[in-house]
Amino acid sequence: MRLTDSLSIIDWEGKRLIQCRCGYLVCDAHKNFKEHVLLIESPIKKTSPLTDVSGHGTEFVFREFCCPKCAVLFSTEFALKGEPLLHDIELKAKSKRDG
Amino acid sequence: MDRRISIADFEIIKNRLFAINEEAAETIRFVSASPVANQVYDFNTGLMTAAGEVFAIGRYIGIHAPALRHVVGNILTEYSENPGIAAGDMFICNNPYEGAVHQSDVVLVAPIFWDAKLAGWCGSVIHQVDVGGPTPGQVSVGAQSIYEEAIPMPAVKIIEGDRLRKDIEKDYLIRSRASRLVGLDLKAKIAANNRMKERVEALIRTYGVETYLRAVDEIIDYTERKLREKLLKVPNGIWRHRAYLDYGESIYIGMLTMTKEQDTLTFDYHGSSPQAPAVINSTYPGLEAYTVSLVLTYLSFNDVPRCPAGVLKTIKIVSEEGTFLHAKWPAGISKQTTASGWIVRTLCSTCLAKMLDATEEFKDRVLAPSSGTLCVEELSGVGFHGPVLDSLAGGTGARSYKDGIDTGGIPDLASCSIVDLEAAESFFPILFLYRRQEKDTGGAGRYRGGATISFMYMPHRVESIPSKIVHGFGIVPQDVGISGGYPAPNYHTRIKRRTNVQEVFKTVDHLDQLSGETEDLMSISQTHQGATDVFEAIFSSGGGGYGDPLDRDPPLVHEDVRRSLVSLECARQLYGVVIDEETLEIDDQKTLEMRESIRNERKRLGRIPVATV
Repeated sequence: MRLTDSLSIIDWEGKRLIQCRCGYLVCDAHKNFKEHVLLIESPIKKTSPLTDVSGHGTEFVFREFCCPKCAVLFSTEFALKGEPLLHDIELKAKSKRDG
Repeated sequence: MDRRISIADFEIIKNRLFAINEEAAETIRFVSASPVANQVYDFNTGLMTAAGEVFAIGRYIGIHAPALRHVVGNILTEYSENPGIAAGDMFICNNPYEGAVHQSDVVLVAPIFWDAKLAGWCGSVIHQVDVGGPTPGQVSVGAQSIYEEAIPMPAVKIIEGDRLRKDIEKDYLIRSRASRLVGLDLKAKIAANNRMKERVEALIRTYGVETYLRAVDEIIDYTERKLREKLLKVPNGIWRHRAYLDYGESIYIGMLTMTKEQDTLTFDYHGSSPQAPAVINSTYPGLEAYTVSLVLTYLSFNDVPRCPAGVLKTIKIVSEEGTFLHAKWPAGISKQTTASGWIVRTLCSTCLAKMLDATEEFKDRVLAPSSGTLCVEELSGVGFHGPVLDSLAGGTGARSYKDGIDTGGIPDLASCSIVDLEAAESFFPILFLYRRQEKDTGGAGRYRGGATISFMYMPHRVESIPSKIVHGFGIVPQDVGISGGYPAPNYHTRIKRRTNVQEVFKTVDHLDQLSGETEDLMSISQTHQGATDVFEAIFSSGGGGYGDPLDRDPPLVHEDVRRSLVSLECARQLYGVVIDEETLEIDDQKTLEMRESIRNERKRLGRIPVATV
């Protein structure tokens, strides 16, 4: 079952798990995969030399989420510094055992 | 009522009704003298049922027409007895709490009668260059409530028995600094509504009112059926997104939790920030209109009619009154369309794109978000008033199999455009030094987001532009990429004062080449522009990217560099593609090494927040 371009949900020993295209098993399907992969937090300027960070004191960060095994980039997000990771995709995946 | 209608009659009437909207749009373009209407096409039209449900809209500003139902609903509730609703009447309204999206988008609706019975409504909306208030244009700088913005006009019967009421017309136009343009736009809407009424009446005359009404019902039902069929192919799930709007010293957070359950979509905006005193808020009709418009953009796939009533039967919207996305009186609304409304657009487009990306059958329909940060400016002086709307030329988001379209425009404003450069120079006292596609403005990805435009201009044939209100938002980019795609950078505005532009006029192509003092403008700035002051801007983001940039085919990056859409620096840092600065040829070995180095850097810098399985 597809989740994103590089992530899918598979049946594995009766569980539903999120798996990278390289085969790396990330976490249970109902969890936020972002909490279980590599997180790199950078200044937002990293996204492009044209990203303008002038004119406001609020600090935002740019987050990249990558596979611990193959390092493919799964997802990105912006957040206020310290803001919790966004659980942005939560599929209601049933295991074969659940029917 | 017998709801059966032949397929042939249904198709003919359905297509005729959408063609009527097109004819109404053409009418507006021919009658209006405002570049906002006749060049940018910042307007829309719609046809409604007798109850005001909008079943056919034009392909212009996606949000204008869905909100008409609130204006008509209010007229039916409040005015059926006094002043009454009769054939030959039209009602004008720009009250956001009654269904205008913001005060500048002035609505004109007309009932359509057949055999003395109300058979439907039609309506037109045009963005007006000025509808009054303390500052020129749409944004009331510094307002603390709607009382300090352009005072909204509730629905008022401005045409009675086919006759324009002079007293109401004068009351409407006296508010505007551009009363001649706004007056002609009123005539354009009257003409458009008259054309729609005539055409609908002709249709009823041909097919009979029963068949006409069945066709209208079927358009709504057909839209609902087609959307539900698609939703059944999408996995059940929840998608969330948050977006940030900077206004003054504050950050307003828009939050959407979108739940797909069987054949229904629920858009829940709980968790969004409390309303601001003025300027940036949205009322419920604006929130609903943006949501409906984005559902049509992302799920129509060109086989669902532009029928908001059918969409509203398929989706649920949950919001909390008192937030900046669903404000209560007397919160000001003047910049809704390019502030809170735009946040709703970002929230919906991101969640819908990720939902399609998770759907095997629809993954080729993914469109990454685009133009998520935006700026508009309003120039005002003797003989000219109006917005510069180059913000509608952003790049579109990347698809899952193809790059976004460079300067492709805004997908939910499908047929809108920007003012032709020479026309802008004739309408405003300005001279463009350049307008071009700007490199590094499309989000990086396996497929790149479309690039947006930048421009630079100076005043021309005037000593100064006395009033220049630049209003944007987006201190942080909003167009996240999909499936690891990078976001597009945010908008950007700068002005350089007292430059040497006259001396270097023929060669200058960047603000940094000019002498003078640079000012970075605040998100909402009221200023002026002197004769040698030069303004440079990117008014709209490009599109977000799709997929990991390291997966992009190096020859595609090479082509982007050759076309000045990606810099050598970004080719190397974001795509890991090394191109020789002298020969502009790809170095294959160094590219392999660079990509491996970036992957290793990701592993070195990355930390797993929670222990994994």
